[in-house]
Amino acid sequence: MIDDPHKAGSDELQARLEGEGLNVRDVHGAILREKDDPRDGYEPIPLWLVSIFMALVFWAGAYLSFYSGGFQSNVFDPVQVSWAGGGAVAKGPPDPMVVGKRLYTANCVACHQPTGQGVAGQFPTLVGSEWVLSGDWHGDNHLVKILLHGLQGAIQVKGETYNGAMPPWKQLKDEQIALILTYIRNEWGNSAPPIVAEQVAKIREEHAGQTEPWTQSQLQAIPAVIFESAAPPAPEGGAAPAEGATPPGAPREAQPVTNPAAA
Amino acid sequence: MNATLDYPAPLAASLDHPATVTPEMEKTQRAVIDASTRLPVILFYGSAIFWLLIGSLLALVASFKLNDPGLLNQWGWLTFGRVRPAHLNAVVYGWASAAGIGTALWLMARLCRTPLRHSKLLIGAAIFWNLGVTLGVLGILSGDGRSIEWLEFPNYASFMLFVAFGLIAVWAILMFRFREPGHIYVSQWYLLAAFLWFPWLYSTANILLNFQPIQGGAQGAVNWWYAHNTLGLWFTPIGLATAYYLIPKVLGRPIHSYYLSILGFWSLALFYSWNGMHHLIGGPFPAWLISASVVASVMMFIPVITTAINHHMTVAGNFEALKWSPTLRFTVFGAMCYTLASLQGISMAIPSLNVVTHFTHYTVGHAHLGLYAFFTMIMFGAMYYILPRVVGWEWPSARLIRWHFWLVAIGIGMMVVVLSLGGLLQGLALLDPEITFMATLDYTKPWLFLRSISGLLLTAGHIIFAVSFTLLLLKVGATRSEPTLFMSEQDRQPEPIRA
Repeated sequence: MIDDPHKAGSDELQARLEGEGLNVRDVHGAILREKDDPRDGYEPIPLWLVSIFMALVFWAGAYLSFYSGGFQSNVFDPVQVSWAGGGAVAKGPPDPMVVGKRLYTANCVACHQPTGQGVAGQFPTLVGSEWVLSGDWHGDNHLVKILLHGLQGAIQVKGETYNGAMPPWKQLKDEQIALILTYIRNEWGNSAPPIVAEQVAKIREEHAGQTEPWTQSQLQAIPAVIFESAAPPAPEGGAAPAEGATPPGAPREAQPVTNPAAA
Repeated sequence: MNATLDYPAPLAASLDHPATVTPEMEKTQRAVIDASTRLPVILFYGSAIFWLLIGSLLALVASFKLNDPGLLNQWGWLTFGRVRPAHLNAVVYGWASAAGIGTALWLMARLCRTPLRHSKLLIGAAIFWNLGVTLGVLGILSGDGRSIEWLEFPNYASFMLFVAFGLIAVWAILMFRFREPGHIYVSQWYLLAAFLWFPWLYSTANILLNFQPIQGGAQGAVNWWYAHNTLGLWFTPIGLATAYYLIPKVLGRPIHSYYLSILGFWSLALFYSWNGMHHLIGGPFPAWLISASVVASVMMFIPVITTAINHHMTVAGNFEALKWSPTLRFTVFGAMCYTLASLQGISMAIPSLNVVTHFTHYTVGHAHLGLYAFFTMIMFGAMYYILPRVVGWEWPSARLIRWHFWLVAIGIGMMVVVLSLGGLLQGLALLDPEITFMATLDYTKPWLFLRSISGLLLTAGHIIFAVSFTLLLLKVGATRSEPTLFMSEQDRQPEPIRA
């Protein structure tokens, strides 16, 4: 009677059932004891639930009308899909002081310390330093060179002598070097015009062959240059630049940041 | 295949004269149906448990590497970039999918009220499936993996999975076509839908990303459409179908509301497949694509709350039963975590919150809440229910089941909590421009250490479960017809309900 090969597993059971006059107690206990198969109850859907769902549907329509960019395939503006939304509020470039601090924290604090004070005799202070603020014989060009190629031998900063080694940082991008320099020139009470990436790039190119760190005497032999785009039009005394110079946000003007989606 | 199946006499009689069906005949019918599913169910369950162990091992290696990045790095095949996708694919395809298929085919036979047909299709599918997963995991470890999340299996492996799945889909349609007449219960809707949805997802994603790759950013969209839908249109329907069957079955109560079942099913079908794009918030995609996904994700509130009410109201008043029934305890745990995971997922799709949680361990915690605390726990519950019926032997030890439950319940709870907290800290730190990237990694260290501990708990639970399963298969112990429960029947008052 049982000739369906697909039910081979049930053969034995069936044979037993038949042979013993369908005594279901021989069927496995788990099946004997189990409850009826599930069936449906017919409680109505509560009204409050329907109301909440309707409110959600309303919200969905509103959200889509505000943030769908008119369902056009060329509208990408993330502002339009943000909660804050409500129009194309163009976000400015990031604050160079914030990004600069981040880079300084990641790369410079080990020697120059979070306070910029350095370590006596080894790592010079950056606070009020003529090297940083392009005072005395120093120029913006010297500062960029030091970061790109490093500095070795004894140097004098604010009358103190330091004799540590500054490693080269040319692995950093022009933009990053500019941000770090802009940061240290405007932190801890320092105030000097920002450095822009283009100037770093120019100096990097001019001294592409420089493999050794600079020494103080080498740098002193190079005439000081105060970057034009960074310097305010106000007369230059050679010392710390005039107060109220270009705000830190300014350098980015040289490199216009456009918001493609704002168009 | 015979045109007419030869049923044992009482069953055949009951089919000819449905009005004369006696409870005894129904029981006989169930026994025949269960016996007919024996080989395919044991094949899929056995291999699923094997891959669960392999997947746990790979997970532990990946997790330890986050505590100590240099660990085991002398072997290329054990580097993080391979172990982590190997873990994901082993548990998704090897464990969860195979466990889901095993459960689904038993449920299909029960719900169609007919013995399982064409079991050769399923046995073939099980062989292809395991071959595919084996080749896939080995392929990833040997460096053949593809850099598409959730689809890391190399072509030769994904093709086998597709063949396996094609066989299963054909089988499911045949089963449904030749079902016994009568009411179609809600679990059946979910199962049939899952069996049709998954081959569609898997083939579309493989064609568009692999055989005939589309260009540019659209690949990312297809990738996340697939990966999220695998959760929502494959694991979720199987998990819910199982819960919809087991909860009323063990309690002997009707499911709360047929109307809620309908609303829950169709709203899931309508909204889920839009959800994947919320993984791409902030990415280079048209604004409407992301917004539509955000809306659809929030609208998931409808199926989730509907299903939660339906399940909760069915259990309501019978929570005592969780104390003694292993099946119910695992299943209700899973059903509750379905609600939690879904609500959490909805919140993570809201852009202002997504800004914090995106690219952090919070997302990893959420993934485990969904695939483990919801789906895997329900699969454990289903195995505790189905296996004694299929094998014809009771679970050997209530103590092993108790250990299994508490190890995995505490393990997954701990994992989700520590990853969520660590992930939130990480996300807030990543948003703070004054905190360097290296510092954000430092913040996650203690949480990742605790995560490794939770992984050990889970793995211990899995080993206990595997031991329990092996003893069951070997029919160790004395013959019993009493169920293996957490509490003896005398301890339970007033009305004994049996699992």
